[in-house]
Amino acid sequence: MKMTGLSFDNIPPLSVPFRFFFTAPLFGILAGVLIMIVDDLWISRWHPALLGFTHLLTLGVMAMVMLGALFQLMPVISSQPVPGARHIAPWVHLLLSAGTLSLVAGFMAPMSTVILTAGIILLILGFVTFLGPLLLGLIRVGQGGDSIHSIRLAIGALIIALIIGGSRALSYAFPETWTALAGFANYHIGWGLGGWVVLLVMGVSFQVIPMFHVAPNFRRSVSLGLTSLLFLSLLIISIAPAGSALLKAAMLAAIALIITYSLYTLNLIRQRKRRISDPTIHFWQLGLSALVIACLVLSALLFGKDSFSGLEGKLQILSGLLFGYGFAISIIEGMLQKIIPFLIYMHLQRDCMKNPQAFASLPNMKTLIPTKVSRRQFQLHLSALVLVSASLFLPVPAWLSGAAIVVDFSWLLYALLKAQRVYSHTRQSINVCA
Amino acid sequence: MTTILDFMTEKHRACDDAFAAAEEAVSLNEWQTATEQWRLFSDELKSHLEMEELVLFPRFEEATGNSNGPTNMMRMEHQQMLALSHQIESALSAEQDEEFLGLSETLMVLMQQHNMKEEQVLYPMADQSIPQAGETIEAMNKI
Repeated sequence: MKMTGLSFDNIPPLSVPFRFFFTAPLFGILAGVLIMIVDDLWISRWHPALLGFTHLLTLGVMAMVMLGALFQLMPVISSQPVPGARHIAPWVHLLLSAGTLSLVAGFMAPMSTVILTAGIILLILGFVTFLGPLLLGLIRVGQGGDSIHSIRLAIGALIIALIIGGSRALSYAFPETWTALAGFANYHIGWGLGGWVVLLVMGVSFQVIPMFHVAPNFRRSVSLGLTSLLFLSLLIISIAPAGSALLKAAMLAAIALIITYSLYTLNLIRQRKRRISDPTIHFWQLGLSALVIACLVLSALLFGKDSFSGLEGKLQILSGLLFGYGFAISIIEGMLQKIIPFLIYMHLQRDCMKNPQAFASLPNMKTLIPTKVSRRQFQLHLSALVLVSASLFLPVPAWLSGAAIVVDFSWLLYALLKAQRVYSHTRQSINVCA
Repeated sequence: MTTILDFMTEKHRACDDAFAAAEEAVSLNEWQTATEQWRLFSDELKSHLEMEELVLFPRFEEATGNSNGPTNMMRMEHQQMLALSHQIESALSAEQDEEFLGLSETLMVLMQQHNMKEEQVLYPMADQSIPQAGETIEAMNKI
């Protein structure tokens, strides 16, 4: 661990993470609208609109929040900020937003080569702008703890997922020149979801589950072992010959590791000492359970291929849905219920240094996002997840499941805007009195 | 041999246990238990902050030659935690459960991100830089 530049007083301005957090629900709403207006979206995982829906959620919601959160998280868990966060965040945000819109439009519009290529270029620029400084920060940390270890592996997985995804998208844009890349999709999904998303959530959970909920610590062997072995399995999956026993074994290992992580974490949550009602805990429980079910569906598909009488396509989509919307977005929504009010509180507290009398009038975290509002968020998210999953197999009207997603993300946006309003009012009154 | 990291992390967890018990009692409207548990927590908190401010931080500053860096920030956060803790005590004696739980959630998160910085960065560095770790732990134990 290095001493140079060590300072905890380098928390980025509120606008750095918030621009990402406030944009994410807008992409979520757009994803819901897509389900409402496109017929037969679930017919195949290659349906252009389904590719659009998927990337609105993975890039527009998931990556959007995760990048914003990493700007905030780095100085807290490593004392090293992302260098130049204040200056690069607006660019990363702009490029990621424009790139996602363009990519999704490129998937769906006819004659879309130009839009799709523009999307790929914007996204590459956005990620490079973010990853360059982040890698520099991660190098400066030196050895670092378990969370830094997972974050490093997660970033490695993200880079691989981006390279594969980018080349895959090129084969869409230029089908004649880049045909060889068409088989890459599964690797892209594996590194993106199984690698980047799972490893990042793991790294965050090692810190927040024991600390915020007064639960037992993750054993070091578990936290280090699970993350390293998961990364290793993904590497083997990527290089093992198609159809080989090694490939099957590595896939089974990756799935088993993710299930083990989920059950282990659910068990730690069950042993928590902080037992007051907390919607964030429900989000964790829902997310980890959805992750287990997604893994079970996936392993049934991999190892019991011929026994689903034509349902394979639907089951593939179901596992993706449970993984993205059921696992990742549940954890994200749950964490935002704490991160948003805390960051606002922390920044207001700093403003109070100019005017210590104002300290007593600071809004506490539950005034910023009341438990009632978080609880409603959980109900809306769970209902939407159930409805959309059911709509794969039952005649649930598309407008209804799409609307459920729109309502879920609109509520999130409402909660964020409400908190932001209390922030502006309080800030004004602190500055007036100062 | 016990490290500063292990010793202090254990102290953090002891604070958390009493804190969680007080909070649960308030949510069940058991004010008597809440008051007792809160006193336990607040005593633990105060002695922990003294261990750091009177023993650990000065030795850390001496060993690293850095007296206006991370330890200053930690001291400032201690002040913020104590101020919140006083607000919580007022809510406790007035038996205002909603106010208490809103403030306790805030203190919890403030305290945990503070602990995260200490456990991930400051204590491991203290173990590396302070020559007599065992004697330092003993000195803190006397507080």
